[in-house]
Amino acid sequence: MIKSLHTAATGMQAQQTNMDTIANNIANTGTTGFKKTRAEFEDLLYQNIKEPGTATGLNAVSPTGVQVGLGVKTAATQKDFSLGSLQITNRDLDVAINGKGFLQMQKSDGTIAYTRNGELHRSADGRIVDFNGNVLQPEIAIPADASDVTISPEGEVSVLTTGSQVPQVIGQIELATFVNPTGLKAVGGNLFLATPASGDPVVGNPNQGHYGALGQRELESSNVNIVEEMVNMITTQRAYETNSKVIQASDQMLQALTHLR
Amino acid sequence: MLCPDANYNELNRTRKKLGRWSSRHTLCSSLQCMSMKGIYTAVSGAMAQSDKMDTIANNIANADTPAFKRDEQIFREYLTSYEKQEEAVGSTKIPDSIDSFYPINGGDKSYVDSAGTSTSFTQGSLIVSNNPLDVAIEGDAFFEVLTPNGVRWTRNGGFTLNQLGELVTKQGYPVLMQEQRPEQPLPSRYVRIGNEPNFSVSNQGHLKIGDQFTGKLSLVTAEDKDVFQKEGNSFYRLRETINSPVVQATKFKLHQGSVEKSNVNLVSEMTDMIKTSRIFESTQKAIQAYDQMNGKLVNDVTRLK
Repeated sequence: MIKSLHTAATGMQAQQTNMDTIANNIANTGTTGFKKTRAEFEDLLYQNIKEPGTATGLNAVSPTGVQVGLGVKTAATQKDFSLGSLQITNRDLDVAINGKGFLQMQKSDGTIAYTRNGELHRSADGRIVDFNGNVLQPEIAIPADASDVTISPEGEVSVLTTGSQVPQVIGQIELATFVNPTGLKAVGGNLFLATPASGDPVVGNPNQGHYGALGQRELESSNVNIVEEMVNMITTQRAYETNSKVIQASDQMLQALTHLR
Repeated sequence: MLCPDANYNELNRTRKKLGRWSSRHTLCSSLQCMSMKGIYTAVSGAMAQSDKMDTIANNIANADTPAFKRDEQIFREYLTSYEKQEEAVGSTKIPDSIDSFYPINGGDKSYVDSAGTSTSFTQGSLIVSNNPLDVAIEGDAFFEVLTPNGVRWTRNGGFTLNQLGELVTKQGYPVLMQEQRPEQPLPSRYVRIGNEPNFSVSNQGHLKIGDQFTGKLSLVTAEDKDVFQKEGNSFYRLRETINSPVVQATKFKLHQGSVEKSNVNLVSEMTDMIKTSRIFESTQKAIQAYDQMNGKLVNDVTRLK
């Protein structure tokens, strides 16, 4: 019974984690390129109260034994990298990745981070950056007199400069894919970092092989499905309540014990 | 304890010595024995319900664990006379006769025994996750996984990839394909997907990576499901006491992009919990009643006037 108290506590903890994950998904419904997270659980170790095969009588052995489980733990919080819906924005430097791949961004400390958020900007020195000032890799500088920026589905960036009628190619956007994208580490600001679990990035041009095509003047909205999250929230809340009932019942049983004398 | 079993023979000898006291003594000793024995029957009931409560708590805590299968505690009446020979018990078994119309066979000295934990392997409901690495089993089968402790079995098909591009469980243990030849080394049975985006599993477990069929997931089962014993982390190991070998599963269907939920029914668990809690309280009342009887015996019957 003391066991059941702790078991129910692990259940409540797990549902709390689940709720935190759902809250974060719902909070980020409007975040460009956000990928929803799912908390996954697994059962804890089992305590063998009676080993199978123990003698239970003169000529009898217990065939199955008695096992009591000790609760639940969060096994993983897994990112779901399914595609979010695409929205037309009509802004030149908005890029959506229609398929697999991440844009590569160099942070101010020199490390490369990966993002699905293609809301790009032009920095004061003309380089393409994200809204936090992280620089798109490989670096592309837009000339000061450039007017019309075009990004092809293959990632070729070309501009029209004043006095010229022919678009001039100024750079190539590359995408990175990972063997195990769910192993990437989310660090906030829509950015992910590579980890030993994700493997090393494999860099290639968009719209080739399994790399997604780029869509200019489009943005990928989050892949959070509000209905699904709401349903998950309801079941999570109820599961939390049920676990608290187990604690109450165990407490009542303990109370019955203490009232013996 | 006033009158333990071990002292019974001594008591009998004492009874013979004090012949004229015998009838009164027998009355007392039987009173004492009855009440003291009975209290242990009640205690065994309380312990059994406590075990049951632990199991229910674990079922409820794991209501959201993928492919979790609920456990049940099974109890049975346990008769001490079955455990020991007549000589060892020290009292004669009451033979079947007219006087003892219903042979009691030590039923007065019985208690509740937790006979075992049985896992209910009924199907859990499937929910769509749209993750190609989630493979749910419908029907009777288990995936084979190589853990550091050897080959283990699981129904949790929420897989992922490791940095080598191999299909692994959430703990990072590789999922195994079916043996293509006997004694095939285990690492050659890993599923290597690599950086290939097109990975599909047919409903019979055939793997298609890119454009190639590379093999078949190993799905096994056993005639007697009790042979699978829970190990935690959603894994099962084989119980050695049951002789039921694992065989290739045939009656199953795989669903890629789905997850099997647990088969815990919260309604029945809650009902069981209420029942367990009440039976536990009743056993407490029984213990209290025995205690009161003993109180009478000690304080009223033996009062010196």
